[in-house]
Amino acid sequence: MSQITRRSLLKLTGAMAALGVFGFPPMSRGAYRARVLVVGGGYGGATLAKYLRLANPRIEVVLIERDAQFVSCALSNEVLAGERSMESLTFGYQALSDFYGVKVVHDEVTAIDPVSKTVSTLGEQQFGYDRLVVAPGIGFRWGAIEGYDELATQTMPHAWYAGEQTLLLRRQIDAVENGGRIYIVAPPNPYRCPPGPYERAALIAHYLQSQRKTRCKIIILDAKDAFAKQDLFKQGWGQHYPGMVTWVSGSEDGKVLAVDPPTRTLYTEFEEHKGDVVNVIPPQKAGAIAELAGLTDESGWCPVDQRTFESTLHKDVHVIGDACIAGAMPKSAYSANTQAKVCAAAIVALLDGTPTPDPSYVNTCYSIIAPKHGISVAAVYRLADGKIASVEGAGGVSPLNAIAWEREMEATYARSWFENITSDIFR
Amino acid sequence: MKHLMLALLATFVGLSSAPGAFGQVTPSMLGNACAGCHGTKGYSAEPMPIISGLSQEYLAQTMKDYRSGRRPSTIMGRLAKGYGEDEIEAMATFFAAQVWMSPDQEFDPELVEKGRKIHEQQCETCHRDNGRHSDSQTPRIAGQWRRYLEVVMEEYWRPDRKMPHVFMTVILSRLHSGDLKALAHFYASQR
Repeated sequence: MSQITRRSLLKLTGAMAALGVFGFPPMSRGAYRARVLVVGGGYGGATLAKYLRLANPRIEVVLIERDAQFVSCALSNEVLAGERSMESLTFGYQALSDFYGVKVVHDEVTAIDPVSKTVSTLGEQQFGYDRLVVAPGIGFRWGAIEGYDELATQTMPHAWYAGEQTLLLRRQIDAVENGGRIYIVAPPNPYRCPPGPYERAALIAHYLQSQRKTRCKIIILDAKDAFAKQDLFKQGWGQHYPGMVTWVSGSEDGKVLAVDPPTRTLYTEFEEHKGDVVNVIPPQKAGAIAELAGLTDESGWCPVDQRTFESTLHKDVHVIGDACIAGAMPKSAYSANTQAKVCAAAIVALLDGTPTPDPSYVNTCYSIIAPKHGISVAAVYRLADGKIASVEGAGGVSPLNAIAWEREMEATYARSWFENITSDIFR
Repeated sequence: MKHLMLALLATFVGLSSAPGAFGQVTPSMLGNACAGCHGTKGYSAEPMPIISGLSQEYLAQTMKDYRSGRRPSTIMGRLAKGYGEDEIEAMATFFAAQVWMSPDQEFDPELVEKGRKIHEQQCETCHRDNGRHSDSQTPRIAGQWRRYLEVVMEEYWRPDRKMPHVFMTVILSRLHSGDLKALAHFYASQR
């Protein structure tokens, strides 16, 4: 069903491909006007690579990505719910190279030199660039919660990067006895996917309920006093999983200060909690390479010109997606996707020496509370006084009084969003 | 010649590098931002409707109907409110400039035949040429995603959903839910 995108693009661009404008083989290396290097092939980086090539095939785009395949964090809570396979979240980079002429290199970037404009990798390769786009996603602040380090993730998974961690958490939930206690430690702002921890609570509850383990308790210990789509989540938890989900806010002693992985114990200021499953979503910052390259400020995230996503710390380097500071936009897959397009259009203009186009950005975040119960938050953004701001009078969350049919449609649209956005990037 | 090619290419594939007049967001900038839900250039994955190649007037009016609430929605109303008149026109121009492509999809031959009869009796007057016709009032529905057609017909059919085209409500209220399903299969079978 998603072949349409590829086929239609091929048809549309067939004539151009025949002329050798599309795809790079017929042209010599020297025929490129400029080289853009992209570090990180997630929702942001991979979109940027494709849209740059679509906009101007004379730009050589080299995408450096550590992993052979991309595993989407978005919708991975459905794996915990027992409603989705990991395969459905997994995408290769073949289409980017075959159909769009992106040069995909699987290697890990170890250093960025913004003065000589070169990037070095673990595989001892070096790449020069005219413009560099860094899209590393998030990194974790190890130690911000005492005792929570990389080793601890094997006992108390974060599952905030999808893959093995998702499966580990899934196995742990599967093994819980009826009456067991599951803790989710929710991070302080800002972090990747603001509604994610609360969707996770709902979908774990859904899974346990489907296993007739309705005496289980899911307790969210939060560093915050409020969260995304809060009223809608509370309504949904109560409606589908009465008595199963509890949220403890930061001011109610919900902030976890330390952990003891072997005993799966969490320590807040006044209490200790022992869980059968403990999911710690740690405090976050920009992905490691951004910090290493000096692209982060004291907040741990990357300040950028929000019109072009060019770093305010290093010239000719752009940062998009979760790692950047993007005004009012949340750190979401949709945000990364639309930031990538704004950034691609800006880079095309900057390489041409023409004025950068006025940006327009969108975010839509769906959350699934039950297989037939979806909710959403959406916004349209503009640049106002150099900052990305949401357009007043637009956007917002699903209504609290929506009828069941609308909730069901939103769950359908959530899955369809996933099909569409991943087609927009990987096909 | 080379410049002409590049210019053509940029227009063709969208995301043109040329900025519009000062303070104006380009059609491709607006249209590309929709792709997260509606697919690249409006070639959506099921069950999002394919919006590429529909009439500019129809697309603009539909967005305005979403914005005003005349057409109910789960999320489109919230998003449509983020755009001004000119931007809606520009966005509609972007999607109208694409070429319609009917996707491969499954359908039941028996339901197709049943749907064809209903179409001929009830729908062909407006949705001419087996639903291929497209104008400011009438979206192309031949080759549209079957699941989308089912959803939108259910919207017209449901008493709790107030939809903009009264004529559609009247016609669909005469039909049974099985008829709607057959119609959806019929249009899905058309290219």
